[in-house]
Amino acid sequence: MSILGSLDWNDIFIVPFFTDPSLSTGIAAGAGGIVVLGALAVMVLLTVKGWWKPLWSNWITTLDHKKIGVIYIVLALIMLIRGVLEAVVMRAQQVSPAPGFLSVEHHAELFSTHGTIMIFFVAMPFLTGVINVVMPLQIGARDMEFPFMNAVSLWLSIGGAALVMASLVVGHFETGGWTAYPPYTGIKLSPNEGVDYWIWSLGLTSVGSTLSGINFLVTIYKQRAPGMKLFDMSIFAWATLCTAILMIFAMMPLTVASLMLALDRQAGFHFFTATQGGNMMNFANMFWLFGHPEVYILILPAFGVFSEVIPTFSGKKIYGYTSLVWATIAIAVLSFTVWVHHFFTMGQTAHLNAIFGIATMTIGVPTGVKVFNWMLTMWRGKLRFSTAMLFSTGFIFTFVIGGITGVMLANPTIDFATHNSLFLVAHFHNMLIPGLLFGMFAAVNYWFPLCFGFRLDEKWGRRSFWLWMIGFYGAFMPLYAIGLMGAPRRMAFFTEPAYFPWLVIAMLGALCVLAGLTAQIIQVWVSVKNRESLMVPAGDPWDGRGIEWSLGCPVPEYDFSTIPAMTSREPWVDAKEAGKRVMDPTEFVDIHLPKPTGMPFLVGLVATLFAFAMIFQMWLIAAVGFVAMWVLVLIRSYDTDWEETVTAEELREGYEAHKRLVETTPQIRLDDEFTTKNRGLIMETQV
Amino acid sequence: MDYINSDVGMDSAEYKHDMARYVWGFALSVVLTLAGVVIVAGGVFSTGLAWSIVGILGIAQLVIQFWAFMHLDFSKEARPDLYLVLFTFLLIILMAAGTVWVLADLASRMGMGAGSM
Repeated sequence: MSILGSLDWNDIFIVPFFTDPSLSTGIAAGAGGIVVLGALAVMVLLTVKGWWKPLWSNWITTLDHKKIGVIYIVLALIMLIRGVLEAVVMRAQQVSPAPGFLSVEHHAELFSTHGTIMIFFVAMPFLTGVINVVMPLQIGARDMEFPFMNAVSLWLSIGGAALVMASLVVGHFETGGWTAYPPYTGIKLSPNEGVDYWIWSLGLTSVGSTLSGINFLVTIYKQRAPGMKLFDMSIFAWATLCTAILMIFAMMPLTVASLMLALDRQAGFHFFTATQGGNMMNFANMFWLFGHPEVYILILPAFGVFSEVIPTFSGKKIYGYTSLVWATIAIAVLSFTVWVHHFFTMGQTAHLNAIFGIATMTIGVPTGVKVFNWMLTMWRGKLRFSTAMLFSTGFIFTFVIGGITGVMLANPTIDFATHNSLFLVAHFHNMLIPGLLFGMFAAVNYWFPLCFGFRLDEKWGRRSFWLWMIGFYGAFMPLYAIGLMGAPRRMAFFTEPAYFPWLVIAMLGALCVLAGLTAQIIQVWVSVKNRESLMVPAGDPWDGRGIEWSLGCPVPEYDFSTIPAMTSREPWVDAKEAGKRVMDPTEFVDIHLPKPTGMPFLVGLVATLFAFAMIFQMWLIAAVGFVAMWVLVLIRSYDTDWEETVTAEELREGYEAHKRLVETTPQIRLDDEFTTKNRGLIMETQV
Repeated sequence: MDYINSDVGMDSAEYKHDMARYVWGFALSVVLTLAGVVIVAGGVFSTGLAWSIVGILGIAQLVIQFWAFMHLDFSKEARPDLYLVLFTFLLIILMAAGTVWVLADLASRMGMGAGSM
């Protein structure tokens, strides 16, 4: 075998179009072309603007948790664009006359990459990014406990995403859906590199997520401000704590199952084959041991975001703090007891199904508690409908509908009828679009000033909300209907004329979602252009309640000039009620921050090289990449000169400068919150 | 316990206390391991009984190592760590026992013997 393994000429994206010209191969070639041209365009832009050096020294080598968070979110948004475009192509395929313009394999590749990308390369980086930015600022920490490992996690995730993008240009992705069940994904039925792309891109990103989980958990346990007890933390920090635990334990079954599949495929093992003692049903079992906690990894951080946004824009304290925390903990534990409901029809006894059905319905209870908490927080509050608040209220309304269909599906007898139908597809999109994306959009609109110093444009933000909201209902309510009429999921085309009007509505909904995404891109563009008038340097643009709003916008690299004294759950609210505009400093001391380093980027690079070599069976290159990865980590481990000092004097100057700035900033009323008068200083007494 | 960067010297009571724990932990681990080897190699007990005794010895060693090397006990300071470890065990038991349960249940419906699972 050559050094390039199984890679050959036909794997290059443009070749199939010339050997077998059709609309389907043309679209594939076009998609590959977009990736290549997009990469080229970015490189040209960086060169023309001379941005290579600042990109390297300010972003790629950074160990600052806020910047790492921003890179995660940018990654998520880029992948979101691809995921939404794929969805639109699939919707277009199903309304065009059968058999449509895509080949069956191409359509299968589309739904597989759509699912894989949306879960692992949109949702996961998005929530990891938001946690990275916000959580340390809410618990009074200056960075993550392990800043270097944090950057390694980031570059492993980016490596995984790069592999999925590479599959558009070199070779194919798998065609067995995002769950990749064997035996279909075994070597006999899927002999090409598609499944290996799935295995190794997930391998990289799930190792990254496990490390992130460890980082978040240890940071919360060890880095809280002195005097802050666990039950003094914000709800978002609590959501992070539970998410981190789920990340640590839930990613492992996935990593193990996918590596077992890799051994089956490449090394002649029989974990999941029908012969020689294998059992493919164990793959489904292990996959969902990961998959169900994963659902709550996705949703808990968004719950945390809503628990921050809703009190702020209602001008009230969160209703029922303790019950919210216990509901979060209950969800985290129960999420490990319900995985069988993803394969009720696999053939186990009705007895076992019934037990898991009941467990599944039980999870609805703590979730219901949360919904009431949010509603009662808004009750008799003075509501201000910012973009973040719109997404939050839109979430509550829509999520409850999804929850109801979820409880329906939790009943095994109903599940037998709706299993693998578009009803199920509608259900989980109904959970994840409001329950994850809306939460993350709210988070970005709400916390954006912390990173960049200016607010996002509200007008385009509101437009994006309405487009997303209407688009969501348009795209997925029809799927409930035709799902109940019997339409199975993952079909390349339908011949049943009764489905057609519904599919047209779904297509229009998908276009509306695409318009919502476009509105968000315009929102960012407009905000960057008008950033001078949107600046909120005093740091508290929404009359916020968490201590992250006491630091000035953008937050300095060291986060806190002094670690705040925790007088209560909401020390910033206490300070504002006492008429203060800045929090009192505690003690100025010299602090150490990690120096920027290119090492995490290099680790990610060789890890990606290793994974790519594994996909195409280039064993020699894979071995080199694997060894190089550990050598780099080892070299870093012996580096003792990795910190730089910020002196107490610099911190005091920073504090004094912020104090002067706040004292000279004009104070505004809440009614002027969304106008250009808002410089980040709202002082109205809170309830 | 960060002796190098803290004011606590190597002759402090805390250091001695920890060191004693490490030595106890190591000694007990060696003894329990050897006991396992002797029970299997000696061949005095029936297979089933030997299995159970080795299992119990293994669990005992696990507990001792948590106590000696990971500073886990019932004191108030170690309480959060204890909860985390117990929670970890809960999850591992859920996953492992759940997997066995589901697969055995499936096997029972397919006329497969437990051995071919």
